[in-house]
Amino acid sequence: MKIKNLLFSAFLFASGITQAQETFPVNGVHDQRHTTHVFINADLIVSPQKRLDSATLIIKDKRILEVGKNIDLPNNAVIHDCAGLTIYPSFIDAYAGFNASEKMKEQPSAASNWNAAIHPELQYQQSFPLNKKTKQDWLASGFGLVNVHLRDGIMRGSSSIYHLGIEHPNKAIIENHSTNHFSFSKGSSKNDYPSSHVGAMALIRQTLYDAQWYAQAKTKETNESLAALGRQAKGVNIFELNNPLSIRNVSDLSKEFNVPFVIKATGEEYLNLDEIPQASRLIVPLNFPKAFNIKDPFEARMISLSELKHWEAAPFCAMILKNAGHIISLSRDTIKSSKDFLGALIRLGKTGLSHNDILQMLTINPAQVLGLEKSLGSLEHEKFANFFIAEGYIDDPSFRIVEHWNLGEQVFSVPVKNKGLIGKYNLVINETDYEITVKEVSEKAIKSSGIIKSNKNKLAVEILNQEDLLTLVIKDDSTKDLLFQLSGKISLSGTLWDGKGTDSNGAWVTWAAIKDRDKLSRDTLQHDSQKDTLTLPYFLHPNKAYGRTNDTLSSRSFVITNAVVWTCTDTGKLERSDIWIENGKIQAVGSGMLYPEHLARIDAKGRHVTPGFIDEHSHIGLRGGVNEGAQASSAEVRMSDAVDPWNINIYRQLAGGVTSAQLLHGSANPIGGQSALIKLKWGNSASEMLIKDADGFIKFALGENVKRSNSRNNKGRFPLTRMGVEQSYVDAFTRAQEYQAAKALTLAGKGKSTQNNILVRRGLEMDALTEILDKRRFISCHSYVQSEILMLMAVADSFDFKVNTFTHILEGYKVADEMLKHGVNASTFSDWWAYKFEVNDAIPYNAALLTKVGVNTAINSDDAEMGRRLNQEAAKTMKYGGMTEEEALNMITINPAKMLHLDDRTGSIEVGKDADLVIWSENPLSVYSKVEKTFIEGVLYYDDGYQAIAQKAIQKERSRIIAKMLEDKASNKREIKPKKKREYHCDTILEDYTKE
Amino acid sequence: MKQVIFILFAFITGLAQGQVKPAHKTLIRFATAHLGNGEIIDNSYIELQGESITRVADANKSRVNEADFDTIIDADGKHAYPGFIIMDSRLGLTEIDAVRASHDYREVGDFLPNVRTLPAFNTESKIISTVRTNGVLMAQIAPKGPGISGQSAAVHFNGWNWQDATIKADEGVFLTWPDRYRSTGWWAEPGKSKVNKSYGEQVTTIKDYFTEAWAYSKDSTQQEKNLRFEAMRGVYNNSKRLYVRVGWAKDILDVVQFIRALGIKKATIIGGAEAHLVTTELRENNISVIVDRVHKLPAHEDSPIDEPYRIASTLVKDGVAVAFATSGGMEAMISRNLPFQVGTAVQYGLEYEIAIQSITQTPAMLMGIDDTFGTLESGKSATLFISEGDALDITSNNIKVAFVNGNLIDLTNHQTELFEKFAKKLGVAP
Repeated sequence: MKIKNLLFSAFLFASGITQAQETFPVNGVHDQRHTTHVFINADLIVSPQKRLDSATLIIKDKRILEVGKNIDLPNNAVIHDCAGLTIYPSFIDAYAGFNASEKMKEQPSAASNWNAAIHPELQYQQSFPLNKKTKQDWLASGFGLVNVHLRDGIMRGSSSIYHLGIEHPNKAIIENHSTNHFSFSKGSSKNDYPSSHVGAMALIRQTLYDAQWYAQAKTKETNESLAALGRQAKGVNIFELNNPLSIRNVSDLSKEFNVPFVIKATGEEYLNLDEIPQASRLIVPLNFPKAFNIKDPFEARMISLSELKHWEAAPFCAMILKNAGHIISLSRDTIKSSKDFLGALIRLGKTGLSHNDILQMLTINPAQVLGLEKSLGSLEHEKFANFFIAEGYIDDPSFRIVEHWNLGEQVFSVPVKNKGLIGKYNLVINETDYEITVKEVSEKAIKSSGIIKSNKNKLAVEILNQEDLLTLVIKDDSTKDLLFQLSGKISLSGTLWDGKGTDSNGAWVTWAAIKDRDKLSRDTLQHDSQKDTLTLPYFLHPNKAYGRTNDTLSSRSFVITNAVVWTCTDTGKLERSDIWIENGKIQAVGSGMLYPEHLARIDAKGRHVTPGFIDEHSHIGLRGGVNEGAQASSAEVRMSDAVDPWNINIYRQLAGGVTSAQLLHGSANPIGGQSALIKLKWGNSASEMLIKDADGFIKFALGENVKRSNSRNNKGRFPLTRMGVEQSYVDAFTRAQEYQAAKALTLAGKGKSTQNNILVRRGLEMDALTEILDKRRFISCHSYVQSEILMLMAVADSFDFKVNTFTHILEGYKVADEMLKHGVNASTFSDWWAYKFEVNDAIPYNAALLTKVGVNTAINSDDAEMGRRLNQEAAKTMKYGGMTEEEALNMITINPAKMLHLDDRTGSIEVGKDADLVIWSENPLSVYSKVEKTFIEGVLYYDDGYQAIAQKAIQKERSRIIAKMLEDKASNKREIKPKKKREYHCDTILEDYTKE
Repeated sequence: MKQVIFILFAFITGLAQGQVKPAHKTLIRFATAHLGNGEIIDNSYIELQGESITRVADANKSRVNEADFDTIIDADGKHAYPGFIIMDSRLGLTEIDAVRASHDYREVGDFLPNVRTLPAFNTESKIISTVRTNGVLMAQIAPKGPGISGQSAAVHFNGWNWQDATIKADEGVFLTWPDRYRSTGWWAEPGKSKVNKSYGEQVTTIKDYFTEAWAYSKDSTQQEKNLRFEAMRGVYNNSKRLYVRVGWAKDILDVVQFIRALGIKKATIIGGAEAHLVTTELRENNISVIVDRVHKLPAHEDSPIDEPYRIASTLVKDGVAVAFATSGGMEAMISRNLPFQVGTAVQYGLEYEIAIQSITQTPAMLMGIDDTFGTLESGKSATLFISEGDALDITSNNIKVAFVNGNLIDLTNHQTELFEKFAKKLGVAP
């Protein structure tokens, strides 16, 4: 369609058919014009790769007729002298955001998808007529073509692309071109689902599977949304990120569904380059954060180092992404004023991107994103006449657009000031030659200098300009003695100044200045602004306080000597022993061993070494909420989609000796989501933290949270009682069995009878539940009172599977014998109780009783604070119930390792296991003990001895950036706001998960 | 026949709860005595008679005639402490966090100095019996809420009813200072933090109220009695302490200025997440700090990871008196971990005997009950306990005997009962 369209236009052009081809009525006498416009003497930026000095551009009707030097001018044309001016192809914004706050008013189609955040069938055409002021401001910032969609919902529909300056939609909108839009934000949708990032991700996956099914299935409902997705499959899909970490999710979707996505970045993607697929197309917004108004040192504490560092690094994002091999388009996005946008371009120019790089990102690259590179993006023959005329260059502070042309029409203009003033002039006064150089012209001042040609003495030159008249004040640059005051006029061509003036004695003189033919080279012009290039700040991993520097990775082979070693095996505690770590694994444990000479030794005399702790129940390091609680079952959601490797609590827990954790879904519904098992490898990416080949786990929940007893907006979602909870499970597993059977039937009947050949719609929820039935996914169930514990075990037995773990399980001691019979693990709080009704009979003796009965028992945290002193929590089992030291420590090491099926690699100090180790200052169960070092797989991730240095470094880096912020002259600085990171618990339900 | 109690069993015949015979004399011998005033006697004699301590002496330097005593408790190798005191507590004012009906600590209104916690204090709280088991025998029962939330009281944990449990009624007035930076929502669903635009206005309202209350206090012949202002008199005549909940450094400076301007002599701040940054101002104005919770996360992402653990030791080092609370989420049930939170502060630089003082003598002084409580000294109330080992460490905190006003208290509770019941059922009874 695109090609056909182009050909048709070309035909029109060539044959000279001049009759108007409009379908809409016009009020008054028709005023069709077919004027040829010629722009001469321009510095013509044809494309990022091609620039012509003093060149000519000829346009007619909508298109470019000719471009070049020394072209014969047609005699029926309007001539525009652009001496001293630059002509650029118009910028293209593939993600214009002037309508960003607009919301969807109603469902786009009657037979739309069930979830109101899914409306891919919506074709966006709303923003006509655009407010004139906004439009003019966008034209003044260089944009001639914009791609606009409704920024509302998860599958948002398709965009419209239009020439910004053209009034009439019929002319402005480019036919048959649009992009399809996706995000993780549910926007104005009133559906409860999704209420988390993981839910949004699951909804997208399920909907894309539904679309595949819809395209193939014979018997099906009518669903405009799924139909639209089918049609759009081959189009351009743009995914907007709300967090740079989401790039991993988009990349996963791309692979799973074989759909390429253009990524609308947040501007922070320089932080996780490793997760961006190779040669990605990214649209990078230029709304750099503003400096904080940060004068008071106490108030400055409210701002984190990560915010400070991002402020400094933000302009470098495009440069870093480009150098990493990605194809970058720049976007004005939601920047309010053209001034801010153009200011951002100048900062961009100081980050190491060349003028041409920036232009490429504003023209060719976005044209390619939109599939319009054949007709837009450069000033070439037959392309659309979309360009602007400017003073200066886009990376100059003096850059200013004076005219903007769309489709051959002038759609924006401001009076040209100082037109063509820039250049070198040979000034003659009283037969003496002077050279005057005008370097830069802005609305406020003309920057110029001069010399006496004969002796090269420097002159101070001040030039004032009003329309076509000039005033010059010339002084000796060193003595500041006044030499001349001159007044004169500028010739029409701009090349000659002449007039009268007075010399230092007040005697009248006649003067004339002729402009040098050779234009000032761009390099000379650039010279001044280049000296203040920005320095690329250094990055930490993650880029915040306590982030790792690249050089802190230690050797993964070493020996720890002379320690008290808590093996967490039957061997128990070994006095004065050594641990030999080879390539991240434990090679030997014992005393009197011989090691290779080259191995580094850590003398741990008087110290204790334990396995790294394992927190069976944690919600740290997750983003976008932990609960997808709108439905009784959300088995389809995966917490691995929301691992936040940059969360400071990961570091804080390392300082408490935790090396592994199960990041669980919350407890808002009977069947929650799939867990993420991670090692706390601070400074690495989410994918590197996720434990490879770990078994799949899923969160279930019972009791008050599930019943929503404490929820303020209880909308009557089933279940509301423990009676209903049981039925939720029976129903879910019954449906899962039927799903399994239907799938088997389809498989068996393939190609035979049409009756059997019903395509079973793939359900991600059902997939997870069948995994449980198949004993390939394991349940960790939030639980409190004995009745519900027995109930779930009975339900599991009736469907022939086992519950893997009861977590919290505060009344486990009442049914410990039954639990032992079922073979379930217990993971409990040490001493929590009295926080809700169902924990009235919670007792701190629980863990000890369960252990004594023979149930494998762990102590967990469910809390970012408690997670960093699990050793104290474990010690409570000695106080309450008389566990031995070894039994107590096992509760946070080998026991949770067993219940997470990780005991083959971690949880004890044994030959062949991962070197996940903690060195303690004294007996690890004492409140007076302190972590000295934490290793994961032999890598030192936490070192107490480094803390003082780290804090000094943090203070120093903060002060450096704050000093810079204080220098920042921006008037509209940001007010200081403490950024409080939410600490998730089981029952955390977010109001807006995208704000996380 | 002498009774010599080796503290393997805690119940002593003839000394049941609440039945003190005035003449009954008890000797605790050979305990390591932490006196609460910063001193320690490694090997001590502690003599009790009736409700009081009659003598505390170094066993290496003095002698006793064991024949003079009705009961002898052998505490060799064990530790004796004055009963620990928890400040800013909601014990007895709440039973289950998620059940609104069990809450009695927050009244309606912004200026409620006349409201008293004491009549709401439930001595039969199931939580209290799990707290005293760990050595916490006294508390400041305090209200909560914005503005002036009411008056606190000093109580012990062995009363039949609140009147019986009262050590000192209405000892303090509680003020919550507004936050410059405010977070919304509740603990599990905190909303976005934002700048409190009306901070200045709220502070002015508080200042105006206090100024008017001050003027009222200067006049004893009021035509019409204002119950609220009547309750405020104590703040100005130094019979009541003003407790101010405040966190950020700048807000604390505002509070310091406010207290100085009003000439309030007895003032303490609670919370003080950033109190360690303004120690000079606190010390110079004789303002003490109740550390609201040691076991919490650092205030800011950039903060040292052990910042909350170190605040107490920094304050003490800089000459600011410190007491402790466990305020915040699940505060009532976490009260039993007060000793271990203080133990953590010891791990991070607080000197051990000063730590003990911070949960014994110092809080007693703040509440004005130090003439009777807070130390192991002759003439003081026999409110003390003996622990198998160091009471600040989880592994050795094992309370064998505890007295409140000379009464031996029952160390069983709802939880120990369930433990015994189900241990028996499961066949794993000790």
